[in-house]
Amino acid sequence: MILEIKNLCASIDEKEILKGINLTINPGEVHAIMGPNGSGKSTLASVLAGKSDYEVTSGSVTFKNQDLLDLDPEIRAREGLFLSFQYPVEIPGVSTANFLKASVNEVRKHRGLEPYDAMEFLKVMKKELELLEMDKSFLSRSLNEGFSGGEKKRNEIFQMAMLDPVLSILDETDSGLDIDALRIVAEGVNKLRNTERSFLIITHYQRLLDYIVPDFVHVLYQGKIIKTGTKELALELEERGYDWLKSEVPSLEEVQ
Amino acid sequence: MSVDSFVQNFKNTFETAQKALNGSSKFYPNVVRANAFESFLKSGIPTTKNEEWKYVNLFPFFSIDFQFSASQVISNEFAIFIKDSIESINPDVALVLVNGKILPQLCKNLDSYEGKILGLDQYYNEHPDEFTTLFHSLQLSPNTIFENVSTALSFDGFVVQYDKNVVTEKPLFLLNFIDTTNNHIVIPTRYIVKAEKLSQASIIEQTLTFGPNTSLSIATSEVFVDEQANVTIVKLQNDKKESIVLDSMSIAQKSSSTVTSTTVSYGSSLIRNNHRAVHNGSNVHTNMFGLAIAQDKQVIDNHTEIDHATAHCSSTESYKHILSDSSTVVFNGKVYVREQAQKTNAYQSNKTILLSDTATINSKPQLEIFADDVKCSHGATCGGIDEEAIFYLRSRGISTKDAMSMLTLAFAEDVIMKIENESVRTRIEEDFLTLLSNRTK
Amino acid sequence: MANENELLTELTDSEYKYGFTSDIEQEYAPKGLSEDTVRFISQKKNEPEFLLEFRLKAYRHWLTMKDPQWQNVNFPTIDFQDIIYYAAPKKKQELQSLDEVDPELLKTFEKLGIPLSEQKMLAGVAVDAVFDSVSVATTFKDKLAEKGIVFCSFSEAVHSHPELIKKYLGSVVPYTDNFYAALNSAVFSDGSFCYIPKGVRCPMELSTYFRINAKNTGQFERTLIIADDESYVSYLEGCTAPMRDENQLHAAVVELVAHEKAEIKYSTVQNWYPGDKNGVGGIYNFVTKRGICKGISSKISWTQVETGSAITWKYPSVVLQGDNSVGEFYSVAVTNNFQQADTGTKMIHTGKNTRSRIVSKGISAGKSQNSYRGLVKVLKKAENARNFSQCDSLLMGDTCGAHTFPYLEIGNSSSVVEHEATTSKINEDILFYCNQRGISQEDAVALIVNGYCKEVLNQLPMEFAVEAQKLLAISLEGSVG
Repeated sequence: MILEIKNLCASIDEKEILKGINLTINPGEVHAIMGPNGSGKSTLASVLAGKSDYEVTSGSVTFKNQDLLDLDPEIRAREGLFLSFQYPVEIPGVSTANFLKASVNEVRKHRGLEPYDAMEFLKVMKKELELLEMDKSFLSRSLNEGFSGGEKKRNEIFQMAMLDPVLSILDETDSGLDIDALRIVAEGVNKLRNTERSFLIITHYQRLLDYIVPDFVHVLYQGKIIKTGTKELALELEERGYDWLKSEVPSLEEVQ
Repeated sequence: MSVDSFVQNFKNTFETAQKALNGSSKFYPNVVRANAFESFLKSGIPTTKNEEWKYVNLFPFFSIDFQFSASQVISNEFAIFIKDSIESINPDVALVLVNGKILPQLCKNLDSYEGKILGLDQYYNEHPDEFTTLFHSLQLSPNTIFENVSTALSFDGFVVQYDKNVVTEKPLFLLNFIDTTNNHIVIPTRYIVKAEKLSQASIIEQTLTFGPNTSLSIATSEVFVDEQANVTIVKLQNDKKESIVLDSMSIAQKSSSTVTSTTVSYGSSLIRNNHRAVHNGSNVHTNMFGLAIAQDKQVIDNHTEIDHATAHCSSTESYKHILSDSSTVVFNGKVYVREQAQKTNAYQSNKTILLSDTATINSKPQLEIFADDVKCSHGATCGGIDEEAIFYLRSRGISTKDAMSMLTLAFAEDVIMKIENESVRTRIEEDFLTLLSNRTK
Repeated sequence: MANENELLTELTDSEYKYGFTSDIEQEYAPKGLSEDTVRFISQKKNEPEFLLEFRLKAYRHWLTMKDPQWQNVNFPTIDFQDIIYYAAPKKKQELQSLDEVDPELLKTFEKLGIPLSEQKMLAGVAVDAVFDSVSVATTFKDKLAEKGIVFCSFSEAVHSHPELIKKYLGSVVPYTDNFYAALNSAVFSDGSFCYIPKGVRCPMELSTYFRINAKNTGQFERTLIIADDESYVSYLEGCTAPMRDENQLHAAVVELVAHEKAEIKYSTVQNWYPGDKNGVGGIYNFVTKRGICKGISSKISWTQVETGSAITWKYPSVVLQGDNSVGEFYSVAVTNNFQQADTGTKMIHTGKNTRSRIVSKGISAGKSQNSYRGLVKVLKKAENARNFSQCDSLLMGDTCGAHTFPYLEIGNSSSVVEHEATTSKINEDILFYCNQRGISQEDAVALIVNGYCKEVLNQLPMEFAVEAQKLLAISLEGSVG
């Protein structure tokens, strides 16, 4: 397996958000996590990537047979964990190309590969750009600065392609995308799918899952996975909303 | 006549008053007055070498022979002026000062007003401990100069007190009438506003000079705003040209309080405002707005200071200046963010329109930041009226003159709109348009 | 938070790599300042009478002045009698070529990465190296002479071009200007002189490299650059000093004169020893730099990257006298540990249609204080003047300070002046984003800071830009968590 989350609890400002998550992801699998607002989806993504605002209070996460929680965020990234941010930041004055060169070469160094020189790097970049139907002019623009919502998200997928991760977490990558952008992003992900790479797709809507067909769908509610199924579960959620599930777990309501 | 004679007259006035104290010189308020007196003698009148007074040469303004003692008799003409003025302002509640002294018979609806007015000495007798922590407590900066004059001569000073939970309905008009019929006259005024927890109040200040000679109003106030209280202060500085205003206001705010101060200046030959706010608690917010319209040889100098001493506070400051003829406007806006004042959010803006090539603006926004997790910004712009905008309006059939008025008013409007009192707002807008139409002949 | 503190410590431990001293035989003036000192210096340099007169007038004027107190920096009063005003590497006789320069000296400059032998030089940069008070070598002189360009040490120019010195010395910064300018005018030792004749575009970057080596000495260079009509020159200045636990005074004066349609680009990468992590030692860098755009459509552009010195206190300024002239100021000032910087510019618009642009990026870390102080003055007659200023401050850690003191003095209605300033800290979210892409905290800070300073760094010539980027990274190593 690539990732094993056991009974993970995490809080922010002493407020408990994750209340015992259990999840196992094997190589090549695509998992989707769905759930209403405030259920803890983005928290899970942030905790896995190592954002220090969140405190892990109990449980464990094993990533490629290592204790993930023990690693600094940049080491997690170099080991092959990629997070596509829900809100990618803007870095004024730092071009996308420069940023990515620093990033890619760190990752390569970590994996014992030679860093790319400028020419090689440019070549690799251009190839991936075409894949995502992006204009190369944006390589020289400041990272995400003045990018539209769609461009930012495409830039995230572009970086994912460049960094060659083993586990990619897509945090609401579909939010704010029009149908064309959604299709391009999904195609980008699908092209990267193989027997080694795994994906954890966090989404609010079923729409993205029409394009990226998941192997498993989990429903996150009040900090716990309350139901797991296949892609049919996503369709059911789309039709029936979350309320019917809530009634299936009265105990949780009572705890609140 | 000179600066020296001003200082000498001040000295004589204070010493005469001192003699009349009859042994009560140990009385705490008198001790503070005596200290302030000494401090002023030490500092004297600031020269342009003093960074705080760099752009305003006071000496020509002090070449007039100012007297400190006003006539106690109200002439018929003056009485009519006062009556007419009050009628035209038409306040619901008014505290009326005549030559620096409260004249109860002229005040309006004070009895039914939710706030209480007490003399400084009376307040001390009733709340000695409280008084010690308040009076002159915000005036300990080395730049305190004229504040010392009003404190030294604060025998007629007063306190406006808002008890806990008091929410006032109507604004309190503070009207200061000065009679210069007999001579050029200095009127110091000194007051304290004490707004206790959860109280809410609004004060509108205005000085009105009568007579052919020049008045010099040296006003100092300290405003103490306790937890969750909300205080609004409007200063309408539209006195006649034969007047000089030196106005100092220091505000101290406790947690979750809000103060909004709006100062609109277009009268007098010289106006100098020293407006300061210091934060002593979290979630404090200060708004400071100012509008100055300067003409002829008018000098308007706005010095502001917002001292973020505590965390999680914010301030918004916006000053707009419109200059024509040979006027001079100075803006110095200091924003301090102390080491412990993390999460401060401070915004300052200063915009100026110059309508003539002989007017001068000296702007010095100043940020001093010692905390790291803060968001502070300031912007200052200066220029003429946008020619393209004028052209655009003209191409729609509007005359140049009207276009100018329209655009200048639009420029000033967002400050004017901060004033809640409609009659004051209307008054300003009307004066403003008159000023503009006189100018753009 | 713990992480942040560790990184902060790491930062303060990062070392000053130019801190070595060189063992070179030196010749000194007696300690202290008097008319005799002034005469001694003048005599040592075999100066013409007019220059001695200039020095003496300056000295006598200096005696009437008090050292200024208005700046936002704190330091103990300087004892001006405890400074050696002249120190020079002892030389045997007139040097005929570079081969005769003391090999120890050449080694020093090699160590600093400034090879003086011409064949080793980066093509396109001519260097004048000033060691303590004396210019030791100027490269590419002959090549420049072909174009009529004079680039030599100030002392040499005094003899070879006395008429130019007489005409321009003190014409932009008179000795009465300020306390340190007066002091410099009395005791200046050496510096660079540069004259670009009419219509000549200087084919290479001119560069002066300043090095303070001797103990207890002050360094007082004087630089004068004159660009005649329609000429162009780009000039670079670099500075380093050994690590010493005393404070050393550096009070230079730089004067620039741009005639009609001429352009001078003056870049500084200042990396004097900043003192150790406890604030002991370091250079007091009190410098007066001013240029005048004398002719119509002339242009002066200052670019500075200030990372060194215990105290930096300088305001490279432009007097925009010629109609349509342009003044620019691009600055990055980094302070760390106990460093203090009070720096900025003055743009004085006196000519019509003059334009100026100010971009200042301050970065404070450690326990340092960083102030921007600038003046934009538009005189009544300077119709249609334009200025835009952008002053940003970046704070790293909660024990430093950033201050902005802009002065705008505008005297006519046709001019437009805009000033914007922001203060913020390095955004945690950006750092985390970089971490998530495998970039370490330290590299992320360097990346962000370089991005933040890009507008200024872009103004530097290529070789300098690279050096400046590295300097920024070193100066701020690990300064944020």
